[in-house]
Amino acid sequence: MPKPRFAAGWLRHVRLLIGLKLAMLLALWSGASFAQTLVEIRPITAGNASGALSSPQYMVDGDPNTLWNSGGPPTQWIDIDLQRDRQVMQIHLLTAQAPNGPTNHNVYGRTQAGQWVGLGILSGYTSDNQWLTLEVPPSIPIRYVIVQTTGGPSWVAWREIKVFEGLQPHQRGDVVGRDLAFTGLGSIGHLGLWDGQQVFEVLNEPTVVQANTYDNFAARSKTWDPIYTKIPSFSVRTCFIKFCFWRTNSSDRVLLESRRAIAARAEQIRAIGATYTLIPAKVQYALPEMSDPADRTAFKPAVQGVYRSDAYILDIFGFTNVPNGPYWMWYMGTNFPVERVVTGDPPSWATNIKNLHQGVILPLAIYQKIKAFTP
Amino acid sequence: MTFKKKWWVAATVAAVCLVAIGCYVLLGRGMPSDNKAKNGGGATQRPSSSVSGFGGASGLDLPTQAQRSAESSRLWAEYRASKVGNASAGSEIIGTIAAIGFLSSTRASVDEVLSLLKSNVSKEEKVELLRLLGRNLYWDTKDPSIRADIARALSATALEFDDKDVVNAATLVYTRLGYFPNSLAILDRAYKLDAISRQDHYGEMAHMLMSAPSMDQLVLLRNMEDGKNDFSRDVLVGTLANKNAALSLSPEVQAAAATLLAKWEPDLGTGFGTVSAIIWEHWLDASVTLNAKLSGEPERATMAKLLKVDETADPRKLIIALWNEPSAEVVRAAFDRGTLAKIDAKVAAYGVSNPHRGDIQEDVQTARRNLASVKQK
Repeated sequence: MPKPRFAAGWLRHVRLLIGLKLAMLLALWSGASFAQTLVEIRPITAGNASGALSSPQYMVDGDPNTLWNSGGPPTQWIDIDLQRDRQVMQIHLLTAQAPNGPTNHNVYGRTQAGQWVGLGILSGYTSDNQWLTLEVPPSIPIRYVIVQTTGGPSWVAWREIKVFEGLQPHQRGDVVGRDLAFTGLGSIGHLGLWDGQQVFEVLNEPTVVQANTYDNFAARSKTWDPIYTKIPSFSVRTCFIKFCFWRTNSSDRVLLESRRAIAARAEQIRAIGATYTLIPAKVQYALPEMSDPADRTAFKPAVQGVYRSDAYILDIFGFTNVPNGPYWMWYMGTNFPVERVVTGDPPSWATNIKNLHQGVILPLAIYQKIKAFTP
Repeated sequence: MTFKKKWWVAATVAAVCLVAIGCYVLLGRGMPSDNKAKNGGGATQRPSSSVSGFGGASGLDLPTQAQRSAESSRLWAEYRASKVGNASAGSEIIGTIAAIGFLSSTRASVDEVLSLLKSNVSKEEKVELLRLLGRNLYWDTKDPSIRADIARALSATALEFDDKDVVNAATLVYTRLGYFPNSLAILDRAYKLDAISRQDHYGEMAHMLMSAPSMDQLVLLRNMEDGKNDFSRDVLVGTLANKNAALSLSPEVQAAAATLLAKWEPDLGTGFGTVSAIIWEHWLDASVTLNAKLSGEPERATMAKLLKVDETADPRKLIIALWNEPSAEVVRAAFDRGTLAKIDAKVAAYGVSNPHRGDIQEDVQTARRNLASVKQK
């Protein structure tokens, strides 16, 4: 007999929220630091300005003793060119003013394509030679920073500006993380895999497995430092494509170096497809089509995976670690031989992967464990 | 105790209780690290496919098939007893069963699921029941009548329902059963209803290719060409990169596929992304196999045409063609020593221009090593 369902929706969310929060606390107790490491963007150039008693370039020359002076009272503005669209995290400005007093500055960003975005406001009592810091909330990547001074007792001038972005991932196999884009649950986190050019991630959107630029990834919420994953060099031999011949030792079994194997599994999952889940118990790993084209009865289609971002990373890394010898896949009441052979992996790798699967499994916890991989 | 203090104590107690419930739901019931099968006690073990399937890691204490089957049966009984009609708990428990697998696929169990599907259970449960039918029960039986009933139910749901989530699940499960005469109509309806994305619409056509009859394979390829959805191309090359698959197609389909691929080369973008490179590699492998078969020429001749080694050659393509031993062998046979030396120089130069990318350095070394082993022969 069906029960009334009026409470199911909100109750489900309350339970998830509380469960996730608690799990996050459990993960944090293991001790983690997620301070974003910032990198100064260099070189930058000063572009247009509302006035120029002295050159705007003095604002970006690295010398606090030289300054750009607009030559007039507020309102004045200047724009800074970062050379290309960048994921700006922080802006530091060194004041030049006489006399001291209350000032107000609006800071904007503009993309290469011309789209404007408000980055924040600096407002308060300021004095000469004082560094002002603007924390920039996650936003679209921008190429230009525009500082508009709308109030102050002195002619508008600046000694220096420094613009910072977050660390970038380097090579395939690096793991990227950011806050979960969900109010109140940010620090639980969200993970993705870097393939050298794009982030591969699972999202609760119509297209679940997505390849996005790092800027796109970072624009959704606050990023964590990328993990330059310590992956030893070893070999994985198996079928990495969407269609695998169901007989053993088929030509579709290829030998790949470990980092490439990780990226190949990411693409295999993307091609097979996936649905999204928040519930760990519902996680399933994507399976390739296993068929013998000459025998229509030997056909098993590709089975979509069911993933959350942490499960996606677990699958991809776990893929590089199995006992040597055939690895069997159950289907249609029988076992299909999808042999997967790993050779040359150091014992530490097996330990790293095993540890990934133990304890609390949440993006934050997986992030910490991957960060702590021993070479 | 003042009213404020009482309220505070009550709120604290309530919060602790809610935390306990949340913990139970998110971690306790489905703690993914809990790999041991537990009979009773409310705990479910780690999802089945990650254990028996393609992913999964070694060294874990994995449940046996019998343990998983017992747990699935226990959960199904629990669902039938107390969770039917409960959108949240019901769908969670069915999804967990699908993940564990090995729920017995018999006439009785399938009829039970089919009848639940027709009942007034929540749409969340319907979605999970559809997936259970199509991903598990259909394949876990060889009884053609049971399979036909499941396929009919999925097809009817995809064609008759209007709820987008239900149509999405029914469609995307149905298309993975193989190709049926109404498969395209079902895909089209779901797409028009906005129940599936454009990527799914054309991607599923590529997924169905190998199970469709030749005439319908031509239709699928034509539709994919019209759709120009890159994801469908990626799935197609991920299929035809398998020589067994490409060579099993009829000559007409091979010709259509080769023509389509010739017009639809994957873009490598501006940098060096490994996945983009892998997709391009699939495209190269599929193109070489199909064109060699159709022309009767050796693969090396096709490879030489596709790689176009001249001053403007993209070094990334040369690296990709050389980074696996089998295709490197074809490259070696395709060019004379002078051209191979030019290839080597281009590949080396690409490495020099990317000194900070360890993965590119690795690929360059692999490509040059594969090339050198040829030159020595």
